[in-house]
Formats: sequence, C-alpha cells, structure tokens
Amino acid sequence: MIEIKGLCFGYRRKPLLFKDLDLNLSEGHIYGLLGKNGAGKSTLLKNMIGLAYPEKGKVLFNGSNVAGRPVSVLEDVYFLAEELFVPSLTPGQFVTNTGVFYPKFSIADFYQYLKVLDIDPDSVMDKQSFGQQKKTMIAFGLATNTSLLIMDEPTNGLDIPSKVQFRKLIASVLTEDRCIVISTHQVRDLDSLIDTLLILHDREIVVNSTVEEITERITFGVFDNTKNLDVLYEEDGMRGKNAIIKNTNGKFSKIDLELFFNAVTQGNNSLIKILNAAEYE
Amino acid sequence: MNNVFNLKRFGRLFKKQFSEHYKTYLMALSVLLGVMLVGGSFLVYLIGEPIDLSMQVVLFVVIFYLAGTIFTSSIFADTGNHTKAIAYFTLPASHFEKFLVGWLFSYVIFTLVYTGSFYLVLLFLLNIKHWPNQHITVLNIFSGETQILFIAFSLLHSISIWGAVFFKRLHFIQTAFCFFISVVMLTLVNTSFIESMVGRQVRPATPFSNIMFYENNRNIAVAVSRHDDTLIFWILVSVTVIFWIAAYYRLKERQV
Repeated sequence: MIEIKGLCFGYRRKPLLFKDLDLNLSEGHIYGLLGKNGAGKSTLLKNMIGLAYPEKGKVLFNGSNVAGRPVSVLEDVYFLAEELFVPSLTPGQFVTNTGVFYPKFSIADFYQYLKVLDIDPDSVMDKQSFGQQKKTMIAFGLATNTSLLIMDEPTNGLDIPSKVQFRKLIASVLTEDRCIVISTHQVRDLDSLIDTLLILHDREIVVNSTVEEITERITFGVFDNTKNLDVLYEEDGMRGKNAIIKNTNGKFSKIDLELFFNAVTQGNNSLIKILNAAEYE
Repeated sequence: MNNVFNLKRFGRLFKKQFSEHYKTYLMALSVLLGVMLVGGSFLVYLIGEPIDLSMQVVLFVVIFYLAGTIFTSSIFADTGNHTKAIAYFTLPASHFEKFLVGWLFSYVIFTLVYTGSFYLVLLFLLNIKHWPNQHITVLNIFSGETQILFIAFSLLHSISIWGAVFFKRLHFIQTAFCFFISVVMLTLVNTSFIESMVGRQVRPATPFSNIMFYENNRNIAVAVSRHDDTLIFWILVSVTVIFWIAAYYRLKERQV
C-alpha cells in the first residue's frame, strides 16, 4: 500500500533526517511507529501523505506518488495530526461540510464512534477540551473509511477510559483492505494493539517486524537473577530484572514494548542482528 | 475524479469555506462599515460640505486597497499556521480548487461587497443633511477612468496572495515590507537608468512613469503619448497574472 523508495529528507539548513530510507507497509496491519523525540516520526508520516516532499526518492500510495497531494490519494488517506485545528462548528455541522470529500465516509459510523467515545454531537468543537477535540477527530478519521489511516500521537490528551475505547475502536475498524499507522512515544498505550513494529532510529528504520516475529526470536521476562541467562538487554525493575533473552525454547512471551524500544535505541546490535536474521529466513 | 478541477467538489469547498468562516466575514464587514461610517461622518463634520468627487476617489481607493490586501492575507493565512495547514492541505480537493476558492472570496466577492458597502455609506453621508446651493456628484466606478483603480487593486491583490502563501507568519506585514522595499529599489534603479539615458538629473521616477526635472525655474514633465497608456495597462495586468500564477505554484509546493 505504502512504498517508500530511497527517501532522503531534511529540513532546510539542517542535517538529513532520513537517508535512502526504504519501507513497505501493507494493508491488514496496524503499524506502531516508535522513535525518540526528534527521530523524525512525524516527518516520516508527513512524507507519507505529501505534507513534506522528499529531496530524493519517492513515496507511493497504491502506485501513486503522494508528492503533489493528488486528490485521488487524499480521498483515500486520513491523517490525524498530533495538534489539531477544529473549526467553530458542532461535530454534526463539521461532518456535513467535510465528510462529503471522502467517498467512503459513513455518517452512521461517525455518530456511533462519537457515542462510544462519549462526545456530545451538539457541542461546538472549538469549545471542547483538547481530549474531546481529539476524540471527535478520531471518530471523524475512522468514519472516513480510508484505506490508509495515519495517526500521530493519537492518545495524547486522552484520559484512561478513552484510551481503552480508542484501542477497542482501532482494533474493530481494521480490515484486510485497511492499513493503520500509529506513531507514538507512549508505547504502553498501544502494546496490545499494534501488530507490526517500526522503530525509527539514527535516520533509518532499524526494526520492521511483526510482534509475532519478535516474540518468536526473543523472550521478555522478569528474573531474580540473570547470571546464567543469555541476556541481550536488561533493566532493573521493581520486581527484579526486566530482561530480553534469546528465545531458545520456541515459547511466546508478551512483548514489553518499552524494554524493547530502550534496547533498540541504545544501539543493541546483537538484538537487531537476531531480529534481522528472522526477517531474512 | 479529476485531480485538477471538479465542479461538484469545488462547490463543496466553496460551501465549506463559507460555513466555517461566515461569522468572521460578517464581523469584518461590520468593522469595514463602521470605519467608513465613523470616518466619513467625521470628515463631513470637519469640512462642512458634501464630499467632493476627488475625495470620494481617495476614500474609495485607500480603504479598498488597505482592507482588500489585509483580507486577502487573512484568507490565505491558514497555509502558514501549522495545525490549520495540515487540515487545509490534506482535505481532498485540488490545489487549484483551494486557490480558486480563496481567490473568489478575496477578489471577486470582496470587491462586490466592498463596492456595495462604499456606495451605501457614501449615499448615506451625501444625504445625511440638506446641502443648499451645492452640487453633489457621486463617484461612478463604471467609468473608463476608474478602470485603472481596479487594475491596481488586482496587482496588490496578487502580491498579497503571493505573500500570504510565501511567508509563514506575519503575512501582511512581511508582504507590505517587501512590496515597499521593492518599489524603492525599482525606483532607484529606474531613476538611474533614466538619468543615464537622458544624460541629466531627474526626479525619482517609478517604472513607466513620466520623466520630471527642474529647468529654468520650471518643472518639466516628459510623458509618453496618451495612447501608450495601453502598454502600462497590459504591463500591470501581466504582472498581476504572473503573481497569481506564482502564488498558485507556491501553494502547490508548500510543505508543512
């Protein structure tokens, strides 16, 4: 669905953020894009939807170049930015004016999502709290039924019950024809939601693996003592040592995204080698 | 659907622009009417006679150009605001449709609304009291002589659009600053060019204006023959169109 070929991008008078970056995203997946602050997560998303133009290389959406923002691409892509602009309209008025631009938009879905997210459809959007505005726009984004849904830090500003509802909604709208990309630094909000992990570090995608592939190769656990274990990475925790070890017995463990992210972004080459080996096999 | 222009989609965009901004537009119109009414009343009170034709032209032009360029800058200011720009550029409509909607509101609709408002206030001020033995003349904007006023506004409008799309913030101020600096630079270059051409000192002259100098205690102006006004007209029109096209392409290339 999204094909990034040799992407080079940098802001003016600043070093390149991406150099010869290649990435393929397919339908039927929820991708979690992780990276440190300033790694370029939002910039990569902007390149994916044509808000930023590559210096070299290209980004294709179903074969169409997104640079130039052609209408045929915009109609089938929805981008939920981290910071939102909402007009002085009620959600109902907003949908009447804006939903018509998306060929697959469903008004019924929109009101259903508003209900689930506990948003009053008659409240004026620019008078809502930030969290309510975010939920309204999440409902709108989901109701567009676009093939590609990109969300930048969608859980920022959401309260705990709303985060739960958000996870449920996202899981419910994923179809075989749809691709969802969620960028976040709040990894714990999404650890049960994403099925493929993308980690952006040092100008490249260092991890592009499904959660299944990761847990097939490595095991996450809390150990009292890790002296006799083949530890790839460990951190001291409240209940012992949170460690990542090589999966030698074929059993699956629950992925600890935070631990995994820390291991990868601290340049743990042996861990990355194991994961990359899994990709090529 | 067509990636450049689709009438149905354009209609939706026009409706969206109006429904999301009509309150701001109505407020701006109230301010405009207020400025005209209060300023005009004060003027009539000061001069104690009906506003004559030349004063009407001055008032029409000054408020028209100032309000028009500020309004144009504000219409396209969304492209410089990070959050608004994302919503603006990701909306499934073409750049041409987005540009055309802004152009229609800031140029065509503004001109019509402004002209209507001006005449409304002017007629009110001219009839506010009885002026015995005074001949009252009302400005006719449809006369051929006023055509140049609209052409000049078109040029300022095109520069305002370009500035609004080009600069990321303080669009109006930055555009006005660049405009005046450019006028000064062009005048200096043009004056030097004329001086080298005629071999004498002349007064500062903007491009395509008359050559003026002082000789034998007399001010002398050398002007091209009258029919050559057509050249200036077409130059202004061409520069206007060039700025509109440049603004459109700048909008297409704009990144967030």
